[in-house]
Amino acid sequence: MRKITLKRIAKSIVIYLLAVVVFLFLTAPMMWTIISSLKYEADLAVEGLNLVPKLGWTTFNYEIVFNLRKATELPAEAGSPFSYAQFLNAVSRYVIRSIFNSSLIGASIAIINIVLASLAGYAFNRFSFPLKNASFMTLIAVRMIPGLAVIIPLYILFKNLGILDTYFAVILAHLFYTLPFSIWIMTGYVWSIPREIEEAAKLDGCTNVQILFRIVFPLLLPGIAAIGVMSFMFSWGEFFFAMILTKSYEVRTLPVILASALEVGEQFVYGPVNALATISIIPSIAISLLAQKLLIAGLTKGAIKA
Amino acid sequence: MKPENRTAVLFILPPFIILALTVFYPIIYSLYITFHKWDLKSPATIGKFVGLNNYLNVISSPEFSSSLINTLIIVGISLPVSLFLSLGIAILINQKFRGRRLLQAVLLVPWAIPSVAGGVIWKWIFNPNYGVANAILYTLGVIDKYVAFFSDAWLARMIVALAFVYKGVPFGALLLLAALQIVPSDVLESARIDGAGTLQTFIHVTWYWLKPSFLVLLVLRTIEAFRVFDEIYVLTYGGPAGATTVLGWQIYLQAFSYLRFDFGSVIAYILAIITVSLSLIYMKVMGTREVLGR
Repeated sequence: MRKITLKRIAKSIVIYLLAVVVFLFLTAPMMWTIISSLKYEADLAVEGLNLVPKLGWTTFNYEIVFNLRKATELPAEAGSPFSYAQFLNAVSRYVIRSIFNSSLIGASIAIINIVLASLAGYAFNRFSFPLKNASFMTLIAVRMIPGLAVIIPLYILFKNLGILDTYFAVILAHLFYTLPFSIWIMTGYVWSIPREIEEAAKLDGCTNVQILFRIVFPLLLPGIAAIGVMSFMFSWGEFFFAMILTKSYEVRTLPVILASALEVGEQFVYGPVNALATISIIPSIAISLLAQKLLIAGLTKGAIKA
Repeated sequence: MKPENRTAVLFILPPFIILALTVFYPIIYSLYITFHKWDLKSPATIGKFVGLNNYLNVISSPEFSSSLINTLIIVGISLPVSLFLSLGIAILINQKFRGRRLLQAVLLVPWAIPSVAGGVIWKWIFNPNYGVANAILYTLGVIDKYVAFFSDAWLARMIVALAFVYKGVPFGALLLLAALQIVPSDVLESARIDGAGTLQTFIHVTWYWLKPSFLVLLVLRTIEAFRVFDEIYVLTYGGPAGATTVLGWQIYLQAFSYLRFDFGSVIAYILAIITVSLSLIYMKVMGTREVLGR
């Protein structure tokens, strides 16, 4: 008996140690950026660990990022106002607009995905029609095509259509990435609704449209929420298309502005860059914690069988 | 047309129209470009038929072979690490212990972080002068002076691989965790009664249930590794001295720096062929018959 208890204790110690290591691995990099975003430049540009800042914690970086302060308001010992001024000039004035752009594009992507994928998912599972299998396989294949492979013709096409550097261009490109995945997931959710419910409703005299809106779509709500949340998160973080297909700040998204913040005058302005990164992280982390169950269901369903 | 068919077409056509515009047409157009001269620096010659010349030029160029090698190196480093970590974390979360729910909740964190922000995080951690990685390694005595991580070819590649692994671990762990949870407990129980050790049980019992998911994960992660881009844009910009110039970065360079849309398209095609053929394996493993209903 004693041996077993000892073994058990040893096992749980190992598990807890590993759990702590994994917890740190998952969260520490992000925490470090959040912590750094709350320090003055003079506390960041130092060697050594410097966990607790000598000049104290500050929200100055955020006020700079949101263009609420002038660089000259920086306390004398806290760093050089010059780099802050450059940052304000090259990055800060575009930040609010880029958050708006990212939200608008993300919301459009979520709504379009929900509408189109629910209908297509329903049709793929419930109807039989010519080329059904082939078109479904095509969708899966499209998921595997890297954006890099289509960017050149897409760029030329959008240029000829005159939609380069518009919301429309970014939305279309994000649909290419999200739609096949959403349809695939929705087809799985439709599959899990028993057909008998619809047949019973039909016997009760419901029309097909009524069946869809009163019975099928309400039952699909978890799936609808999952693809809405996932496609929004994808769009919020997407960089490649958003960077190449846009030029002017009126349409540029937050990741593009964040990437441009890295090269302010050949200089990495540590505090504000970390603050801006934190701003782009927070919505994603909040959603991932709040919608955890939905995301896990969506991710695993999307990869294996639905 | 049967009314049912009409409804089906109505439901399915919109996404396919969008995909026709954003994928099918570009893929064909891209093929057309690869057989023509498309140098934006000399507009007069754009569209001149050159046969297989673009392909020959690209394949024989040192830029192509070095970016292919860099891609294989980064795939080779990141894939085993990524799969090992995913499996380890999945097994850990599958154990019963207090705080397991918390761990599962934060598991999504690396996946949720936008890739550019992830790049910023790693760039700051590995900052040559003030990065916390240097501070920790120096304090522990692993290094005797601060390291310029992004100036060393291998270190830069490892950091790009790290950023890629980090972002992908949650998805892999979730997938394998879902597979672990369907292993029937009575089968595990009877293996234990028969006197099988933990490792034996894993190899002979658990692995059987894990294998399909593991294969899916292997293929998906390989495909993703072939298209790493954002992390490179933020962390290394293809450097130092081209050490992290992977195929994806080479496409970007050719097309949007050198304005050679023809060479860029050739590499893009090669990349697409690699990933799509890998995805054929994936589709075969997965099977689609079930979800399509009747």
